[in-house]
Amino acid sequence: MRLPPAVILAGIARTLEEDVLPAVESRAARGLVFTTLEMLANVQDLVEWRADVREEELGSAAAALAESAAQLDAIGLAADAARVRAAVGAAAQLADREARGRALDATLEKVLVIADREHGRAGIAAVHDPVRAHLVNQTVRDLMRLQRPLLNRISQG
Amino acid sequence: MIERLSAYFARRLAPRVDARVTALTRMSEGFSQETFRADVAYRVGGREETASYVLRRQPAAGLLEPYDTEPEFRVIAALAASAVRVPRVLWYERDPAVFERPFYVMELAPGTVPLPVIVDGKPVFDDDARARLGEDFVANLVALHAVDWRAANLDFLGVPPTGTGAAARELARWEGYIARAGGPPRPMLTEAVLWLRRALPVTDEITLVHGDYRTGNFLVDGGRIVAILDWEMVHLGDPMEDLGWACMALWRGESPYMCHLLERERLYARYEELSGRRVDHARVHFYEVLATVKMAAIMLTGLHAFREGRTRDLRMALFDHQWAYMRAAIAQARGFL
Repeated sequence: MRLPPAVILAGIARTLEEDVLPAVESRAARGLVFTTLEMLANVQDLVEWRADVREEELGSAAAALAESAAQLDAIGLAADAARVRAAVGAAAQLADREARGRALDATLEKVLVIADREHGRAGIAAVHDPVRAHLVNQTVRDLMRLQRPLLNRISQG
Repeated sequence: MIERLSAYFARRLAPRVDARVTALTRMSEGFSQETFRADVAYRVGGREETASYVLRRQPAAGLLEPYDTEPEFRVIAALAASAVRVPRVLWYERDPAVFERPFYVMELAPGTVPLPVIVDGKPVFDDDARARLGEDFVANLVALHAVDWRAANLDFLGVPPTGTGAAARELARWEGYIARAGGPPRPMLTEAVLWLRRALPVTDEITLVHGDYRTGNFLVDGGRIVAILDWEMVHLGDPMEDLGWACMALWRGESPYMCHLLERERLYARYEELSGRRVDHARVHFYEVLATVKMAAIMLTGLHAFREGRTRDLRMALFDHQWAYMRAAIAQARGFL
């Protein structure tokens, strides 16, 4: 998911300049908007998502996939298990963290598709469960980092 | 812009003369269509009068692209003769020369739109308001599902086949949005879609479906619901779909009340009493899971438009970090949280 910070900051700058500034009448406040625009322009290419947060997520995904692969082996789906392990191994070789995240997410999806294909097969829940647990835990971790939403203020101005 | 709109109102309001837009204000409610208030002055028999109108305009890009506002205009116009409370729509205008993109005009109705957001831990409604609005909420939904859509010539919306046709069509519609939005893999969403494909429910009853029936999409005046708003997702389908959407966790947060109005059991019971239709819990559950997939598809479509620079509406970028709420809602609907 995650839009790159540079894209978000560019969007904030564009909103300030094109949508907010025309409605600001105070010269002092307009000056502060221009100050903000200059600061945004200067930090835009220097910001990236916190590495430790992303690494925690990637580690959790890789561990879940390793467990799912072991369970695939246990119920006789060795070829699928090998494909999952190979995909995790290939992801680990990717230097770019975001690319690694996309590769692991694609592999998580692959396990879900296998579980769906094998729906009803004995032991398939044990393949699905580690992935599901990772997805739920990751969601909870992300929720804990979120700030209080301002939807009512956004809608009512 | 004001001049062209003034000329438009002058044509529409004839034989009243000298019509002109005195103020045009973009309203902040709503994340999808663009809504404006136009204050118009004109003369009748030498006397100066004023009136206010609401203009709903197709955005160039956004949550439900590609946009076409004409179907909803036709539905709202048709529902004027029904028991469903709707705003009074006046004119549909296709000519982009008037206001850049197609739009329709409604009378400005008095009232406020309560939002499904708890502020400072307080409930959205007190108990009295909740009881009144909850009753109106169900009554309008029942009235909507009772509309004879064939007699009202609403089959232009597309009639799904009975059986699993209604559910399959809706799932396909939102899978299409997800595919068009592109972007990275989203395993939580994929899990829900795989489950939905296997769980398509059967219905032999096709009704008008609002598609976005919830708190935040009705107008309240004098403590009662006076108009159901935001008809842009209206279609023909399974009536249980509106119940599933109204029960989505996103619309109630920590509240025990669906849409901050009624407990689930009370909602089902009143719906059954007023409609004479049995609430099929399994079908509602399917549509509750589909509701999360649909909402995810809407968010992804908005994000896609922002990422591609086709909208500069920063609220679309907000969905990037709100995606965690969406994943939580999916997990909750699937029983994982």
